[in-house]
Amino acid sequence: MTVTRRKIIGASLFFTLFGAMAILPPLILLFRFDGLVFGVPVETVYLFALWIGLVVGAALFGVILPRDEPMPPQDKTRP
Amino acid sequence: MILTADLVIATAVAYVGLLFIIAYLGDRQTRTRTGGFLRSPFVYTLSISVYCTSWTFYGAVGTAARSGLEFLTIYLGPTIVFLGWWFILRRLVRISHDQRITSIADLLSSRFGKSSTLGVLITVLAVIAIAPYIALQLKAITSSIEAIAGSSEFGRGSLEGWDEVGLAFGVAAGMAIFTILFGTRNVDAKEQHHGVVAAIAFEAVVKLAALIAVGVFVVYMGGGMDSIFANAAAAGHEIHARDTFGDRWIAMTILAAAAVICLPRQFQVTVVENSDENHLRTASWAFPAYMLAMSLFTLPIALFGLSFMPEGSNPDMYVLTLPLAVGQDGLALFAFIGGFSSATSMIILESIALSIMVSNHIVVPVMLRLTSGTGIGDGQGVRRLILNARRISIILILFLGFGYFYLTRTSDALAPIGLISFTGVAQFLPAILASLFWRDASTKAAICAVLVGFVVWLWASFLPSFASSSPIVADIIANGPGGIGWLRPQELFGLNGLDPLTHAVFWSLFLNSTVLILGSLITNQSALEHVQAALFLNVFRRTRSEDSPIRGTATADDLFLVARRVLGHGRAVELFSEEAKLARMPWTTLEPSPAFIRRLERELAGSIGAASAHVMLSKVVSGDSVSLEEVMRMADETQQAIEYSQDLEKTSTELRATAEKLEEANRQLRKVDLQKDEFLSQVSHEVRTPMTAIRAFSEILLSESDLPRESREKFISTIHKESLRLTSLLDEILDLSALERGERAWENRPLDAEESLDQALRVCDALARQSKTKIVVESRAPSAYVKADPDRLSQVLINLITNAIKYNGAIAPEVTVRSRVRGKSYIIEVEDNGIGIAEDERGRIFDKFYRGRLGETGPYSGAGLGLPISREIIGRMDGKLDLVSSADEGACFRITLPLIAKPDAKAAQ
Repeated sequence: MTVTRRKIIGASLFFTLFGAMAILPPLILLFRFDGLVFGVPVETVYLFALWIGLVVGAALFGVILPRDEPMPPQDKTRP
Repeated sequence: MILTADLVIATAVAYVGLLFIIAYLGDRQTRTRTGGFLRSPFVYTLSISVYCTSWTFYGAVGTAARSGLEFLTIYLGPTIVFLGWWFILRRLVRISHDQRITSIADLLSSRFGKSSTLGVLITVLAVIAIAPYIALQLKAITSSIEAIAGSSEFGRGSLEGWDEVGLAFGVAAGMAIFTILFGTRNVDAKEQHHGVVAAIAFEAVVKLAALIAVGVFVVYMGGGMDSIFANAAAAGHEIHARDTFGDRWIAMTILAAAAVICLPRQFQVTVVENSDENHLRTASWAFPAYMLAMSLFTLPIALFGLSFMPEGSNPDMYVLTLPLAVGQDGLALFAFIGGFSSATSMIILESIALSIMVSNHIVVPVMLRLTSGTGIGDGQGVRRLILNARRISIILILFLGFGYFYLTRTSDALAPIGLISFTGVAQFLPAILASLFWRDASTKAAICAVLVGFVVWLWASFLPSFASSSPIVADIIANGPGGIGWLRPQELFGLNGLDPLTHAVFWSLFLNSTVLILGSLITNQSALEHVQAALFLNVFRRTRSEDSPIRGTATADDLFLVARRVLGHGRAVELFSEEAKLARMPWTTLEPSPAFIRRLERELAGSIGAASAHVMLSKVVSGDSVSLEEVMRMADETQQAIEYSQDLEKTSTELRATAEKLEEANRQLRKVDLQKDEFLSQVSHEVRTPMTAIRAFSEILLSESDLPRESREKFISTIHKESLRLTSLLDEILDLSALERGERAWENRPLDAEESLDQALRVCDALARQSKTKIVVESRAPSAYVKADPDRLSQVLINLITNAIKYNGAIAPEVTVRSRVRGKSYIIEVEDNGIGIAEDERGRIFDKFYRGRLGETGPYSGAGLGLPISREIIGRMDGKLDLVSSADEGACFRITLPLIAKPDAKAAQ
């Protein structure tokens, strides 16, 4: 697999959309059952764990997403 | 420590003083140094955290106590937006840097053809929509002071005699003074306020620290997370029991995502105050992390408060009342400062952002209308006017908030008020997304869409919030205006069963987007809209060498006057000196280039907004206000010329293709013509030979009457024989031409081909005996049903066998006939042991009139039509007639016919 600029951007889009799906019904309803993790209801744990995962993912994408040239390339030809 | 109302107020004032010092130091630092700590991505992220207001600080706990996890949506929505920063926020930041955008109204006005109408509309609507949000902050500060005063054993101190309304008024007034001192000290070219951002970042740290301190304390007091959850569950407070993840969850997530883009203060900190695009990289994870930290203790505080505090206490104030209840006055004071921080940061930034919008989109345009083109301002410059306009707008905005607070003071929860504002500003979202991604969105459609969305918001969301204080409103909600049921604000068009918030969000955004899309499809863009839309869409590939929309003959002096009035003397001199240096000519003779005018327009836009800057410069750069339209027309004409020439090119390509086809057809015709000539000459030749004989013999008979009888009979019989040959030749030609043109009536029917072969063998038997040829019948297929015409099939077989007999030439002539079934085909082979067909003749053996070497010279010369006719016939039976290489030297012809299933007796009859 070659990682191209477009693939990274595509992955970032997927990650964003996945995040949006994961916090909305119907996916979130998967975690709506009686259960405790360290004494905390499972849906609460899910949301916070997901949130931490999204933060970590965002940090990763913040590093690998391509960096734009601050100025268009035409500028180089200017005196 | 003894906590009294007076102490709290004194602390608040001292805290404000501290903020002022931070802002002052921040401004000084950015002035003396170019980068430094204040331009770090973390300060940027902390300033974005102004999103977490006292709604978060106090209200989230209240929401958690009332409806469980629902409070999380307010932070999850923005988290998604920041995860996807590459797609929306990055574009906004880049566009705003390029276009010197100063506010959300400026952004939309700039995209939609620098429309001042849209700018005014967005500004007015934003001011109205934010009023509830400001009221929320006033309410939070007032309630927090009241909570401390109420619990203090020293009574209300100097608050004695002040009721809640008076206190809120005092807070609003104090905030107004503070914001004016804070945010309107100067007009910055890029509308960035480094000092304010520094103070906001500091406040972000304070509120986070305060909330975490209270959270840790509560968890400690409650004996750990698990026991807090267990106790709450035992007391019947289960976050679980409620229907959390329904339509309301979705609506709130969408609203929060929209708000973090559309709220004027969020746009200000995220987009306008951004000094480096790459800061978004850090903010994309750091801001969600900040919100996560802010929400971490919300549930424990809410659940512990529910089980610990007496029945009926306000859950919105748990953060403050829990420490108070256990006598932790120091922590309570810290919590108060945290809440105060979150409220003040929101009020300061929101009113600064709104005041910029009001001054740039309402005050400056009005001023420009009122003055003539030459006398902008009164010589003092517009700077002072702008600053004064901003001060007045700040007062107006705060007191609109106070007015809302006054009218709705009877409702007690904080969060619903905030959601009303969110729904209001979310009406800008469709237009913003369209401006980023849709080239054809038009100004008229955007104006109508925002208006429609806003009217629905006013009716379905804003109006119902007055229900508790106004019986008229309560009646409208219950029965509709004048009893019109389908106009009931919370059941529009009879849509009931939805949560009121979801209902308002759905109808407003749905109608808003529909009007925007349909409107854009049926209206046209003006020239300027066109240009701006392209600039916005292509922000990442734009070249910098484009021309200014304003071309001009303005003198440098005129421009300098304008620049000085708006930007201030220092900045104007700086700009013009730079340009003079670049152009290498003295100031006085400087002729402003289009690029310079463009740059100047952007600089002005930074202070007074794109629309105003455009109008202002257009007034000065006079004499060619039509230039843009002209340029666009010229561009259109050029475009048309290009399209026309492309059309021509296309047509000529088509013509070339047609000509080639014609030439090909012509070649074919010539070939066919040649074939026809050849055929005719061959036919004539064939006919001529017997005709010559007939003519010669009949002439002899005519001229010589005394011929002996036997000679006469011999001549007559020759004439008869030649006539027969002629007739059969003509028959064959007619037959072949009819076959080729498909004119013969033809009926293929199922038959046993073996029978036809037997018949053909019988017919040829006599000829074989006569020429002493041995016919060898080798292997035969038992029976083979094919679809064929029986007479024609026999004709072909007879022709092949006779040929094999006639043109054999061997000493012991022999003809071998065999047939077999191979797969789905029936094969007959007729082979002779003669001299065969030479390699160079094989290709022509099926040509008309081709007879081969033996045929030309042999005793039985035919017309050379037998094989072409046979091949034509077998072709009509879907079969093949080929010359194949034989085992011996002789020729071998093979007929291949497709087999069919044996028909039953009945069908055969």
